[in-house]
Formats: sequence, structure tokens, C-alpha cells
Amino acid sequence: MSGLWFVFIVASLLSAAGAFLWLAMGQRMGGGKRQGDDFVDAANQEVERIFSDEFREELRNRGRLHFEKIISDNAMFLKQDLQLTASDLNKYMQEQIKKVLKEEFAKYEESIDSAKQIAIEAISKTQTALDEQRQLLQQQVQEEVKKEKARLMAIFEENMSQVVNHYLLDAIGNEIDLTDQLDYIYRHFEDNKAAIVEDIRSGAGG
Amino acid sequence: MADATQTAGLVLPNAIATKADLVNVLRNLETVLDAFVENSVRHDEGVDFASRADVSSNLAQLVKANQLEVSVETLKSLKVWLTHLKDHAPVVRFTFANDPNPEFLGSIVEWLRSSSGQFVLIRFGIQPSIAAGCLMYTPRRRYDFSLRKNILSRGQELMNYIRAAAEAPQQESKA
Repeated sequence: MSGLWFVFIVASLLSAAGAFLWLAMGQRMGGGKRQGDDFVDAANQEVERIFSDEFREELRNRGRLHFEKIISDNAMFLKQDLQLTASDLNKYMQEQIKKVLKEEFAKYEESIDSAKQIAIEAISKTQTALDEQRQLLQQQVQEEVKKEKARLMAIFEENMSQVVNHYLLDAIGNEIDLTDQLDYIYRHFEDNKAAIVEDIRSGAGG
Repeated sequence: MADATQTAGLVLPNAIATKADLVNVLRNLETVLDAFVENSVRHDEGVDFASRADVSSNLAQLVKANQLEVSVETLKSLKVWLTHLKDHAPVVRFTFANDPNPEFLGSIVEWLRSSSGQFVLIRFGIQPSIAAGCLMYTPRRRYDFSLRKNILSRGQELMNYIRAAAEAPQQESKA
């Protein structure tokens, strides 16, 4: 129905335009000014008759409706496009964000791994240095302990015999009867008999 | 009867070991000799009194050991001999850890006299720190026969024993 109206309107417009052209050509080819004015007036009247206010209003309404429809359709299409675009854009943004985030996370992870590796290397180096220091310190301490032990042992050995001997002497000093010592004394006498006799004889009469 | 002036014929008992013993015997002998002289004078003067001097055991042993007939002359000779010994007999000094008894000193003197053939006299002192044994000082040198020296001179040996005793448990634990 709307298509039929549209054809009708277009045909009306074409016929009006044809009449107008025909009048204009007739005036240019030899009509007088008077005749020309008449044609113009006639054409205007005809136009006024065809394009009455009702008709114009009708056309306006039709146009408005059609325009509204087009606008509505376009709006719908635009809305759909916008929705699709928004959806695509959203998807694209999500993908981009994901991509960026993924890249950033990858970089971050790489940085973390790098930092971790550096930290591990640093800790490893520190551990190695500590082990070396500990080993060195241990060696030094062992050497010092060894020296101190040797020194103490030397002091111990130097003093121990004296301590033991003094203890023995103090312990047995008054416990041995002189009579029991005679064999011990005689043994020494016999061991040094020659010297003793010589001393006594050389000292006799002095 | 032995001649008191001849040392070869007299015997000095081992009981008279120290120079102090000899001096005491000599003093005792002088006392006895004085008593003999006094009694002799009294006897010549007709005094019926005789003093009796105390005779020490050492003097008695000396007279007995030499089988002397007691008389003024004999005692005078003995005095001369003892005085000679006091001045010229070799004296050996000893240091003991504790106070020696007469038997111990007699044993020491016997060995010295029999070994040297001299009437050796001794003097002694006490030094407990030597523990046992003795220090002997002849006229020419000093002999250290003390247990102290013996032990101290064997300090290294003692340390070897201690070290061996200390290492033995370690070797057992390793095994």
C-alpha cells in the first residue's frame, strides 16, 4: 500500500515538473511576455490545485512517517550496529586488555623470575661466601684450639709431673720409716761407693 | 789391752756415730777422768770418799769394744785419741726426711767406716721435703740420694705413663 502511494507521488511530481518545463520551453521559443505570464500563472494554479494544503499535509505526514520509519529503522540498525560495535569493542577491549595483561603478566612473571634468579644467585653467592667464611673461620678456630691445646698440654706436662711429684712427696713424706729406707740408701751408697770412699779419704785429717 | 793412742788398734763403736756423740763421749770421759784424778788425790790424802762419775752408754761401749783396762793413763790416752778424732776425723753430713734413730745412724756409719777404713763421723739435719732417702755431703761434694730427686728426675717418665694412661681409653673407644 505504501509502495503504491510512493509511486503515485513520484508520478505526480514528474507530471508537474513536465508541465513546468513545457511552459518554460514554450515561452523561450516565441511566446510573448503576456503569454508567458499566463502560462506561469496557469502552472501555478495547477500546482496549487494539485499540491493543495491537504495534499501537502498528507505528503508531509507520509514523509514524516516515512522519515520516522527510516529513522526508526536506521536507529534500530544503528542500535544494532552500536550494540555489535560495543560488543565487538567490548570483546576487542577484553582481548586487548587480556593481551596487555597477559603480556604485562608475562613481563611481570619474567621480571619476577629474573629477580628470583638474581636473588637465588645472590643468596647462593652469599651462601658460598658464608660457607667459605665459615670454613675459614672453622679452620682458624681449629688451629687456634689446636695451638691452645698444645700450649695447655705443654703447660700441663711441664707442671703435671711437678704437681704429682709434690703430691707424692707430701703424701709419703712422713709415711716412710727411715729403717725401711736403708736398702734404698745402701743402693745409692754402693752405686757411688768409689767416689764416696775417695771423698772421705781425701777429707780425712783435714 | 789395746793402745789408746794407736788408732789402728782402737775401735770406735757405731753407736758413736755423730760428732755430737763423740763430743759427748769425750766430755763424759773428761768427767770420768776428773773423777779418777780426784779419787786418786783423795786416796793419796787418806780421804775416805770417792766420787763416782756417771758413765754414758757410749763410753761404756767404747771401753768394752776396745777391751780397755780403766785407768787414768788409759783414759788419758783415750781422751787424746778422741780429741784427735774430734779434730781430724772425716765428717760426713746428712740430711734426712725425718729424725733418725740411733740404730739407723749406726747402720749408716758402719757402712761408711767399713767402706772407707776411716773413723767417719756424721752430722745430720732434717728436711721433710726430700720425702725419703738422704742428702749426703762429703768434704768434697754433695750427693743427692733423696726420693724427691729420684721422682723429679723421672718427671718425663711419669708424663709418659700419664699420657699412655690417657690415650688408652681413646684407643679402646676407636677400636
